[in-house]
Amino acid sequence: MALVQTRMATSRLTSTWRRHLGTSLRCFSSVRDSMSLLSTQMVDHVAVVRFLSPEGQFSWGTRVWEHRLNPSLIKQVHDALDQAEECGAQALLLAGEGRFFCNGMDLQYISANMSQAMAIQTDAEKLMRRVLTLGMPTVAALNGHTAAGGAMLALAFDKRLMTAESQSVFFIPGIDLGLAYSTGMTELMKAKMPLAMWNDVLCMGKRFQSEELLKHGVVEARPPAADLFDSAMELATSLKSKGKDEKTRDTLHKIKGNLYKDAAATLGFQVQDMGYATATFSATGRPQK
Amino acid sequence: MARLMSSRCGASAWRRCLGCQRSFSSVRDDMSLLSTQIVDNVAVVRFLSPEGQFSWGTRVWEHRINPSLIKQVNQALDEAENAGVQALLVTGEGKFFCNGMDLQYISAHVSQSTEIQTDAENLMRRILTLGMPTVAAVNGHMTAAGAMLGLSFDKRLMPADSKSLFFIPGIDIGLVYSPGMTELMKAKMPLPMWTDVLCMGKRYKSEDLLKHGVVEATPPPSDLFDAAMELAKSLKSKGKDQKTRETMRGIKGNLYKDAAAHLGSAVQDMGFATGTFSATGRPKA
Repeated sequence: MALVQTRMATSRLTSTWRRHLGTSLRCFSSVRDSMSLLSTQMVDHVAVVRFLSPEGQFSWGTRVWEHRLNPSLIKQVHDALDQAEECGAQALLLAGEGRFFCNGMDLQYISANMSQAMAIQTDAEKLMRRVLTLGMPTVAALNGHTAAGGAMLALAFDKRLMTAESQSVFFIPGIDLGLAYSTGMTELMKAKMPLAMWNDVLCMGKRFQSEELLKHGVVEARPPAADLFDSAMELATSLKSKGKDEKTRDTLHKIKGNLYKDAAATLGFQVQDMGYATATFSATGRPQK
Repeated sequence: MARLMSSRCGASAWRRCLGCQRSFSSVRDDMSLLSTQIVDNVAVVRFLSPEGQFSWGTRVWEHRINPSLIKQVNQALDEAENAGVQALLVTGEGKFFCNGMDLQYISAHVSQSTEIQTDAENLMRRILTLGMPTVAAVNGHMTAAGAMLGLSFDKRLMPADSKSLFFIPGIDIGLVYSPGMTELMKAKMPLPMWTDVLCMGKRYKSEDLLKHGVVEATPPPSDLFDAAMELAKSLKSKGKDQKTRETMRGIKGNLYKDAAAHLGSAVQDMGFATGTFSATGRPKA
């Protein structure tokens, strides 16, 4: 919390209190658009990346703690992956804090920068591809809501653990927002979910809690929230032998490249306009009535 | 039933059904094979089941896939799309949902066999990628191409404890599935079923399909239609307006990309001319 207070103090240099666009009347201070959105540590050869969750919103209105995919977050995750690779990490663990793991593409940012929409989507897909074929075992600790592009990012990991808390949901609502998934996104989702889920997830935007995801094998386990991080760390540590040295990591990268061939060939490549310009979402990403 | 037969039998001739010993009157080959209604923004299409057979011998109530049925289903889908419905429900009456390609028709028109197969595949592709949620209330046997047609839908319900079977017997009757049919089956059944269904022609009851996730639910037979209607209504938001329906088409087009690319394209002769089936579609002993 001290960390958060310091951050807010520094942002008061150009601080303006804004009303949060959405359902609550809570005021969020604006943060520096270039702030650090994550922390990276190496713990016993496991690269641990955490999405940070200060109160506050970017200048375009998105709340930081939703960990939405925008150019800042994408860049910072790449930097963290670069660091992990350079330091010879033997596994990767990504976790969030708070109510959200990742709530999807930053639609408010895209709305405010529509000419960049395709570029941002391409970059998000390339990040998904990078994680999907990363040359080390990867674990995502889903601490909260995992939605839309955030669910796809989560699926790119080898393993997922999700909190057993019933409020946290996994869903991909393109159908409700008038956004048709690109070829790459579709291949990624098909590669990481069993067939029985495809129609419900992609066509019907069905919402899942951890229990159902466990039943389908999409998550490995569903520990209580308080145990989530430690369980994820235990899992990542147990997989270190599959990333133990450069040769092994190179092998893993290639195995994944073949196993996920169709997704790897299309993510970030055949990027079609998903329809952001004509989509029917409100500024906070909820379907317009 | 008597009224139906008298109005249909303009030039009635009683024929013995090849297969069982029962006599069936012949129907007009161009008769209506289905009814369409719109109920609360859901298009409800029902395969009709009068007694009677077409002039080529096929019993109407098997709802087999022939040029008539294909044409009429396409017309019903056109109506549904033009009316802006928000979901589609298809069901049948009687012992059969759909018993496959009309092999007797094809035997009598072998030169048309590739064309008929192409049209059947195009219909499967149309349903597979239809821009609205689709539900099949599988009232009876769902076999061969009829099983494939059923698999094209988003959701299937099939009654519990019924004698109705799901199976695809190409192996038993000398018919090799086209690439499109194969991709469709692979896209709608989980991997553990593939070999059993395609290579071994295994037979499944509704409980087995529920276990594999191929049917959504197995209500009691008397509740089948209502349960299917309830499901279709619950999905209407996924077909709520034109934008959503376009999005649905786009999503399905990518999700079922391989099946959509191959169904109806470069259709090879499955072997209707050389297949080892009897006129009623049973393997020759």
